[in-house]
Amino acid sequence: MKHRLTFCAVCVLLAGMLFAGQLFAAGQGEGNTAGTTLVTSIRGLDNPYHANYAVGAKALGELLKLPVDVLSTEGNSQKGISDVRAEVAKTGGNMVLSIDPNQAPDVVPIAKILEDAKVYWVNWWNKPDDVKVTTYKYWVANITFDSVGTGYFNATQLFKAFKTPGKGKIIALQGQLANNAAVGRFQGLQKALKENPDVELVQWEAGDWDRTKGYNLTKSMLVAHPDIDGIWSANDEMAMGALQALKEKGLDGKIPLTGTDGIPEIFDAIKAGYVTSTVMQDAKYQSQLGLSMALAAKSGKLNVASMPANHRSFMIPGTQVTRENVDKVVNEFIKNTPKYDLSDFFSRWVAEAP
Amino acid sequence: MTEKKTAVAGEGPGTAAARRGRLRIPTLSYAVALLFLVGLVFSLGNGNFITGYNLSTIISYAVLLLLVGLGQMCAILVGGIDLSVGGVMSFVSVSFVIVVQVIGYWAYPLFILVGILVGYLNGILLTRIRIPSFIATLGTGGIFMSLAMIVAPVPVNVPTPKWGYLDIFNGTFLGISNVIFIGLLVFLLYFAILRFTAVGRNIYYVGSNIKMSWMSGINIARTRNFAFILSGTGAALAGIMVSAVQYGCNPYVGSSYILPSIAAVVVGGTALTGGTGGAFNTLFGALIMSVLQNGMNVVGVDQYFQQSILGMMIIVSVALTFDRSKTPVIK
Amino acid sequence: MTLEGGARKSVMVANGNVSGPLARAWRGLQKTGVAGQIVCLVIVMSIFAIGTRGKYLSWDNLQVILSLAGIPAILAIGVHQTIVLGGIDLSVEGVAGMCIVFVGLLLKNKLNTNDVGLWIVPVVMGAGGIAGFLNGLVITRLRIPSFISTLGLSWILAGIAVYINKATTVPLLDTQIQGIVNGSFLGIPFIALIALGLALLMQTVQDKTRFGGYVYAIGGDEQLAQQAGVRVNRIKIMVFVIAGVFYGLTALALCTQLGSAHPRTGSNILFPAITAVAVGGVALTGGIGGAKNAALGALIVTALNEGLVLMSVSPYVQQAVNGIVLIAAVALTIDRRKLGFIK
Repeated sequence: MKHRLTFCAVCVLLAGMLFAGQLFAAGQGEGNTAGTTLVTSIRGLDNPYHANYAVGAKALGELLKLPVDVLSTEGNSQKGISDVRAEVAKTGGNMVLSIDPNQAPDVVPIAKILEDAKVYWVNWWNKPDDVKVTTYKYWVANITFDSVGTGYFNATQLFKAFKTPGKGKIIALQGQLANNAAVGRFQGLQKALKENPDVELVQWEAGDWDRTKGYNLTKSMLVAHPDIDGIWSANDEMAMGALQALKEKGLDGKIPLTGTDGIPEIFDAIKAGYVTSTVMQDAKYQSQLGLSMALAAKSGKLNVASMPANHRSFMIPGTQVTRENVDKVVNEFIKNTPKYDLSDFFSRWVAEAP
Repeated sequence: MTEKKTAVAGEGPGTAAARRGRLRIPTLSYAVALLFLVGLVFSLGNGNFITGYNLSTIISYAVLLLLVGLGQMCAILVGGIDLSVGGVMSFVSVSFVIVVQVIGYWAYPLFILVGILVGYLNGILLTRIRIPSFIATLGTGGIFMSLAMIVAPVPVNVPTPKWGYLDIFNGTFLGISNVIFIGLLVFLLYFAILRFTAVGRNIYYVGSNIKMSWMSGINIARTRNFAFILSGTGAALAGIMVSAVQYGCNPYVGSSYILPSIAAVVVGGTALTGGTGGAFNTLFGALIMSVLQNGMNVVGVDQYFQQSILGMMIIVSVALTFDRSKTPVIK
Repeated sequence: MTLEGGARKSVMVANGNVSGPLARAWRGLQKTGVAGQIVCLVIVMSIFAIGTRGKYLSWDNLQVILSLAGIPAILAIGVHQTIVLGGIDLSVEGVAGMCIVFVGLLLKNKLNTNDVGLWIVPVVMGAGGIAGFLNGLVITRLRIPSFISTLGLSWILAGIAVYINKATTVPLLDTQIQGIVNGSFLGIPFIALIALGLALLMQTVQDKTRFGGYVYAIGGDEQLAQQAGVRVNRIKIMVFVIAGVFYGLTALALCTQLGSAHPRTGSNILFPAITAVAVGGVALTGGIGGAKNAALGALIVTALNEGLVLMSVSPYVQQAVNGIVLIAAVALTIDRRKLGFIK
C-alpha cells in the first residue's frame, strides 16, 4: 500500500503545481479582461518555421497589449481540432485565430466550430479546393503560398547552376507524400522539367521533410546515380542532409542543390556556394498578418461580408533567396524582426487562390 | 515485498475461475478518483472547463480514443498487442471518404467489414503462421499505411452536398451529439461481449494463462482470432469516425493513434501482460487522456510543458490504476 | 503450419541424410544461432543483386550499406537487452533527444564557445545512463510496466529537450568525432566497426558473465529467477542503464554524422530499432536472442531499405514491401521450438 500513498501524494503535488500555474495564468488574464486573446495554432514548437509563428504572435501581443496563446497539433489533426475547441472554451469565445492546420481536411470542422463560436480566423496553407471561404461568415481569409511557383523557381535556379546550364541529370527529395505543399512543389519541379527537356529526373524518393532521411536517401541514390548534376529538395532540412552526404564524397559545391523554407543554416550554405537557392516563407509576418486581419474583422474595421472573393482566398509570394540577395535577407529577416506594415493587409497579394 | 508473495501464491488455475463475473472495483475506483481529481484541478484553474461546450469537446475526443482503445484492449487482454491500428485507421478513413460519396450509407457496414477482415488477417498471422502479434501487426500496419497512401496520394474530403451521409456522427439526437450515443453503444457492445459471452470470457482466460486454458480445452486459436477481429473493428470504427467528424482526412491520420490507443488502455488499468482489465477501464482511460489534453489547454499550460506533463501523468495514472496484485511479474 | 513444417523437414534432410562439406558448413552455421538471419540476409541481397544487375554488390554500395547500418545496429544492441529481459524500452527517442541537446551545447559548434572534444563521449553515455537508471527505478521501485514507464519518460524528456533547445538546429564544427563517425578503415566505415565491436562486447557479456546469465534467466522466467536468488531488480536497473548508454552513443553518432544537432534528429528511430531487433530473431517475449541477433537484424533492415532505393521501387509501396518482408523474415527465422506459445 505504501507506494499507493506515495502516488497519491505525488498526484496531489502535481495537481498543486498545475493549479499554482493556473492562478498565475488567470492573474495575467484578469488585467486584460476586455482583451481578446490572440491564438496561433501550429504544428509544433520544435522546428524553426513553426516556432516563428509563435514569435511573431508574441511580438504582436506585446505591441497591442493583448494575451497570446500558442496551440500545437503535434501532427495530430484531431488534437488540433480539439485544442481549438478547448481554446474557445477557455476564452469564452473572446479570441481571434491564425492557424496553420495539420492537414487540409481539418479546416472544415474548424470552420464549423468557429462559426458557432463567432470567432474570426485566418487560415494558412492548407484547404481543400472545393471548400469556399465565402460560405463562412467568420472565416476572414485563406492565405497560401504559391507552392508550384516555389518548386518551379528552385528548379530553374538549379538548372542554371549546372556545369552545362540547362543540361544534366538530377535526383529529387520529395516531402511527405500526401502533403499539399509537397505535392505542389513537386508539380513545380515537373513543370520546369517539361520546359527543359535536356534535364532528366533520374530518381526521386520521399524524405518526409526529415534531415536524417534526406541524408540516408541521398547516400543511396548517389550509388545508383553517381553522375548527377544537381539535387532538388522540397525543403531545407532534407537539403542539409543531402549536403552532408555530398560532403562525405567530396562533392559539396560541385553538385548544386536547392531547398525551401529559409532555415538559418541554408543561408550559410547559399553564401558558401553549396546551395543555389531557397524560398523563404516569413512565419513572423504570417502570424501577424493573420491575427491583425482577424482582429480588424472583430473590431469592425474590416467588413468581411463586403470583401471581394479574391481577397478572401489569396496567395502571397515567398521570398526568393539566391546568392545575390542572401546577405540582405539575412540582415532584414533573420538578424532583426522587421516592423511589418500591417495597415494594408493586401500589400503582398499576388493572385487569387482556389 | 509481502504483496508480491501473496500475488505469487494467488496465481493458479483458481484465479481465472474466480475472476468470472467480478467487477474489479479497486483499480477502477482509482481511475474514477483520478479522473475527478484531474477534472477538479482543471475546473479550479478555469471555470470554463466544466461548461457543456467544453465537456462535449472532451467527450468527442474521448470517444475517438475509446473506439480505437476498446479494440486495442481486446488484443491486449488476450495477451497480444495490435500495432496495425494506425495503418488500418488510415486506410479505412481515406477509403471511407472516397467510397461514401459513391455508395452512401452502405460505406458504414462495408468498412466495419473491412475492419473485421483485417483483424482476422492479423489473427491468422498470429495463430496459423505463428508470428508474434507485435511483429505481425507492425507489418500489416505498414502494408495498410502504404495502401492508404496509394488510395489517396493527397488529403481527401467529402464534398458539401454529400455531408448528409456523415450525419450519423455529426447529427444530434434529443439535443445530444450522436457521437456520444455511438461511443456508448460500442462501449456496451464490447462490454457485453467480454462479460456475457463464452468467447469473451475465454479472452480473459487465454490472456491470463494460455497454457492452462489450452489444457482446459479452450480453443485458443479461435479466441485469439476473435480478439483481433474485435481490435480491427475498433480501429475501423475509429477510422470512420475521424473521416466523418472531419469531413475528410489525410492518409497519415492513423499514425498519431498507435501509442495513444495503448496508453489509453493501460492508463485505465488494463495490464499489458493480458488477462486483467476491461471495457470500463478503457472508458476511463480514454476519458483521462482526453481530459488531460483538453484541460492543459483550457487552463493554459505552456505548450512546451504539455508533453512532459502528459508523460508524467500517464506514469502517475498507471501507478494508481494498475492492479499489481493480479500481475506478479512487472515487465 | 505447412510452411514451417516444410522448412523444418528440409533442415532435417540437410542434417541427417546428406553429409559433406555443405552439410557441415550448414551445421556450423546453425551453431552460431543466427543461421536463419544469415540466410535471410543472403536472400535479400541476392534479390537486389539481380534486380540491380549487380550494382547492389558493388563495393561502393556495400560501403554505403555498412555506414548506414552502423547507427541502427548500435541502437538495436541497446534496445534488445531490455527486450531479452522481457520488457521493452520506448524511451529511445526522448533519451536520444535529450542527449542531442547536450551534444549541441557542449561539442564545438557555431552558437557557443564550448568545446569538450572527446569528453562528449562520456557525457552522452552518462546522460543516457542516468535516463536508463530512471527507467529502471520507475519499473522496479514503483512497479510500473516498462511499456508505460519508458513511454512516459520519453514524452517527458522530449518535451524538456525541445524546451531547452527552442527549435534551433546547432551546426557542429567538431572535426574529431565527425572524423571517427564518418571515417573509414581500409574502406570499411568506422561506424560499422564500432557497431561490430560493441556487438562483440555485449555478446561476450551475455555469453560469458554471470550478469548475462541472470538477464536470460529473468527473461525466461522472472519468478523462477527470483526464487533462485537472482537480484532481479538490480539486474533490471543495470540493463536499462546499459541500454541508456547505447542510446547516448546513438544520439552522438546521429548528430555528428549530420554535422548538426536538433532534438528531432532522433525522432523516428524507435520503431525501426524494434523492427531490427525482431527481424534479428530476438523474441519479444524475452529470454531469447543476443547482441549478434540485434546487430544482424539492423543490417538486414538497412540492406532492405537501401536496396529498395537503389532499385528505384516506388516510394508509395516501400512501406508495404517493408511490412511484407518483416512478416516473412520473422516467419522464416523465428525459432518456434523455443517459444511455447506465440503471443
